[in-house]
Amino acid sequence: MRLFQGRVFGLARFYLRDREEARDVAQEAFIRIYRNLGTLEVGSNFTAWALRITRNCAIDRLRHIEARPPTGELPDDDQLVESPGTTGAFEDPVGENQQLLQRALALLSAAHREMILLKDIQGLEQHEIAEMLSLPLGTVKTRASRARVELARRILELDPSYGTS
Amino acid sequence: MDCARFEELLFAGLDAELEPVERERMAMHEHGCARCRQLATVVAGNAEPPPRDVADEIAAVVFEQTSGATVLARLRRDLLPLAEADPGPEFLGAVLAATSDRDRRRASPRVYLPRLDLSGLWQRLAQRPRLALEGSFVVTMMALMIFGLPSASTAESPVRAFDSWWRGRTDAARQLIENASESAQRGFDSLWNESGAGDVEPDNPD
Repeated sequence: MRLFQGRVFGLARFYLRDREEARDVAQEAFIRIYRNLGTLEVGSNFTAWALRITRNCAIDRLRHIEARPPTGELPDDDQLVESPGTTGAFEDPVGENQQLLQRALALLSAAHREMILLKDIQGLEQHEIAEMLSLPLGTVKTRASRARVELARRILELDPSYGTS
Repeated sequence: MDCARFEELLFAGLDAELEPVERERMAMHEHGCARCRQLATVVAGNAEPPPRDVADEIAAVVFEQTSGATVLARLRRDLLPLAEADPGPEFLGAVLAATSDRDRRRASPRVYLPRLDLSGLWQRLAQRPRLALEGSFVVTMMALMIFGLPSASTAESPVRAFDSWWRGRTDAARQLIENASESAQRGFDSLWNESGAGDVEPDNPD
């Protein structure tokens, strides 16, 4: 559990953007992981499985926070991922480099930001992301590539010297 | 050859000469892949404006392979540390406490009182044809043993046989008790007469 608490909390914080909410979600995620260990298939990737549970917990919490939209329908996951903060910035960025990355991440679309999170930050395989997001593998490949390029362009807009030093 | 290999060789070919075999494979792939054909045209610098959705992807590929290459390489390095965050020293204890509480609740003794639902049991049993057949066979056999065959009127049924046997045993026992009682009475009378107690005149009340 010590090995994964940082990643589970990091993922939860990305979605919730509130430290206390993220702690609650991470705790709930660990409880679900603990209770569902028996359902983990032999040979499957534990990290991807645990992060998928964490994402589901975060989405559930976001639905709860959304407190019933006017239409009476539940919002899509993409809308939920977009909604909690207007800036998308974390509460406690450490260092100028991380601040720059988080400002650039906040400028991305929700779908691209989540793709960066799962692929480049959490290091999940494309097929694992496809399964997690219920997307075709080809869509994940294209979206991951575009998201990375968009992030690089946003970073260069904020800091033209990035990558040269 | 796939698109990724084509891209790799396309941009490698800008800086160095490719093997003839590789060029031939690239030409074959380019012939059959519209996307890579457009990419090669853009890289060659004489592109017609391609469709917008393809243009974005091709522009991304060109960016990845040229000016954006160093940025993307640094991004890969800088993004990884964002994967983890420290939830605080008390987080582990809180999770362990929460899971152990749930374990305790789950392991708490529960008293399961069996409900006696005979009608339900019977219905369930009756729905199993083989069991119902066997049960009815057993019940029939028991009825025959107890009451006898209806047509065998002369034959004594087991119940009647038991009844007569029981009556015989009780009559014999009753006879034995009566005999013992009579012999005891006789013995007592003889002792009474021998002692002379029987000769004493009763007191005259006058």
